[in-house]
Amino acid sequence: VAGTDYWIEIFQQGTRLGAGFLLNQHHALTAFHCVRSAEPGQYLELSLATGEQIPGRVCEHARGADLALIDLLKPRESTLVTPSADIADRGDKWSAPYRPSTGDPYLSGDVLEGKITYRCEAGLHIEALQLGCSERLGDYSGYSGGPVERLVTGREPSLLGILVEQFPDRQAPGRASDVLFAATIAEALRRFNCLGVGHLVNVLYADEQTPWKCRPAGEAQLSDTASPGSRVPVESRITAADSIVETIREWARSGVLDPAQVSELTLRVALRLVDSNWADDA
Amino acid sequence: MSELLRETINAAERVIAGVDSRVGDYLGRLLSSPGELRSGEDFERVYLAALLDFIGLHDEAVDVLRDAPDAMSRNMEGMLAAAHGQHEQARNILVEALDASTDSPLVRKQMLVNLAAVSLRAGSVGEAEAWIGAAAAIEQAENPAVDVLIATVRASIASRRGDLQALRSAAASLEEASKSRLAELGTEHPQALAIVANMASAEIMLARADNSAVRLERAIDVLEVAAFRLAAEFGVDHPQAKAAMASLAAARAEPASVDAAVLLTEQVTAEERTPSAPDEQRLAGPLGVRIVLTGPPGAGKGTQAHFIASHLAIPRISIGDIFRYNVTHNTGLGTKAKEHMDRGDLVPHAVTVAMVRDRLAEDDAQAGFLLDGFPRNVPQAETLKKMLAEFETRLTVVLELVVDEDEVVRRLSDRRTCRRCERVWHMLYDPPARPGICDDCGGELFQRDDDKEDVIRHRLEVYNSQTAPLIAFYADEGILVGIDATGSVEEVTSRALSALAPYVR
Repeated sequence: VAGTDYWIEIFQQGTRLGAGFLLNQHHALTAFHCVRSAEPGQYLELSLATGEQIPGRVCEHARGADLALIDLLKPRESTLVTPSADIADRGDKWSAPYRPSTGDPYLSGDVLEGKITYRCEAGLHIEALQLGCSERLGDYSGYSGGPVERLVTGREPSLLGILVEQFPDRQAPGRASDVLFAATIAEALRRFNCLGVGHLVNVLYADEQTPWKCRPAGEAQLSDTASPGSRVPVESRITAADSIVETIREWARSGVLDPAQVSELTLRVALRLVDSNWADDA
Repeated sequence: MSELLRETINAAERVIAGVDSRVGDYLGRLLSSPGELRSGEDFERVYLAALLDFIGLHDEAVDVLRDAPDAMSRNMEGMLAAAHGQHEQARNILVEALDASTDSPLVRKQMLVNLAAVSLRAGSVGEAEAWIGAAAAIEQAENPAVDVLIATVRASIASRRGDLQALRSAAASLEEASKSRLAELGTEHPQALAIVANMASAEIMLARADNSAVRLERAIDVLEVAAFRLAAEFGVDHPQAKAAMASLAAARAEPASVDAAVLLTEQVTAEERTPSAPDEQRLAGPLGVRIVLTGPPGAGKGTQAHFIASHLAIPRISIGDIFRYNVTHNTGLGTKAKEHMDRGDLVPHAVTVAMVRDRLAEDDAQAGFLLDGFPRNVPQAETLKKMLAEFETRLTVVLELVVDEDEVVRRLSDRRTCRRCERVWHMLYDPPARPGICDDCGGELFQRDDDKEDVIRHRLEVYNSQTAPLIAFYADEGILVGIDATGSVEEVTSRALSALAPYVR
């Protein structure tokens, strides 16, 4: 079951840098400013919610968007499951499962905007969540890098975004200090070569000896995504709504069903579900 | 073009962008003025329908397309039905749409390839193959999106059939077509993620077939990232995200080793097949699943028939049971059969068929059945086909238990039967506590003549000469699925259920 304990704490030579969370078996996500002291390729110690310690390495920086991707260098033993990603709507209830210490409260509140354009300190515009926070702390340092979830009773939590650095004074001079910003999870994932379509295709058809491998920045960059190493703001990125409209237009234009919904594997799921029911019955 | 149509499209786009919450009056006015609708371009209507469907106005989407005579609209109507899981309806719409006039070979090709995809999802592999062949035959309409779907359908057909060579070739085409499609879309396009998810799914099938754990793991990792990103972009409930996550769940649920069934059925499917014309084929009836179980003596048909039928909650109809019932109840047919059996003759074809017909006409068989021990040869299979056609249905799938001849001999020649209680023991798999003595009743165990090696070899010869053409017959029909029947009863049952899954609705 997807849980809320997939967050991590990041250390470098014993010094706590900040929070982040596991994306899958290979990667974790954090805010750039948390790990700014570590160049891509440098080693980190990651502490999981279960207490397990695993080595990691900065894989890619997306400084302009205040995001960084971390490679996990050893398969973890604990079976922590990251919730499915989802898009947020205005009015959703959110919560942040990570807190800097046991003395700090867990943050939560209402989603004020599910999709706004937010200008990061480094100058890059990103797609962000605007979050009203019930715990009026004023100072939210220590929380950034942590995941933002949607909590709905009776449903598994969904991952909506990642808390980035807050600039209360600059963003909107009059805004209340209990408003936080988080990069949407879609935006965060778009920022890294390693998770980009070009890299995925290369991995898929690499020869059998080549393992899944991220390229720490500094090595040759693939040209297909938002050039995280070069830190050039990409202002022209289509917004999510535009991209959905574009997708629908493509679907209508291409006139064919979605291949992913046709493939053999999809059809087998029904069986698996049935199978597990039988197993339960037995 | 129609202003109203354009306004409605803009309004729907604004709803998706979150600027507006309703499509407002435009849609209502548009739907009540068919002239306005018709004055639009084909593509505009189709695009509006897709937008409306996305924002949950499925009925209105269909209304926009209704009565539009052009092939593109009919094609979209079929796509919408398919996207909502209404495969049979989608099929009917698309089959009718083939008659709609179009001077665009591309639109015609799109319809054929959609028909193939829908047939596949409805479980008709042979039909899917026929449509895809027709689609591929249209050469002048090159289009990467269509090519991706053609290759996907072919890969799925090959995987169902266990035809490794065809799978490899389809996967190579898929890779090529997908790369063209990606070049067309650009890798930043969110649709590109769906293409990658599909490529990864195909690679998962192939890695399993090649028994490459490294490639399998890597392809699952890629699928995971693609599925995660699709959910992040479109939301967890979007069909593309759901399809990718379902593929991922399935890939993870499968054991890491190659599915032996894929390789074992290769021998059958390597033969040249000519799929029958789609027009002659019908989709299976709405109810149940009709299975024929076949395989050599000693393959464990009886045991598996029992488990599969009870798992699927359908009656197991064994030819032996039918005979016993008729003979012990002295039915007319039973009496006739007994005359021949007493003389040591084979029971005439007509008598057997009549018994089967009576049994299949019973109420419990209407929701599906598993037929064990019948048909044994091609003429019987043809008779069964006609019989089911009279009942306005047809077989869903034929499951072949594939087992090595020496394994059969080993299984059967080690069987010992108790003289007193007739319980069957197996010296290897199910031995009694004391050799030669029945645990249950203390009776003496002996080897039946049927279980002696030379007799078994002879029965296998008979089976091969009669049943091999039967296997080819069902392979032609496109409904044959073979599984490896070596291993424990549980393993074989699990393989059988996996193989049947796509046919069980």
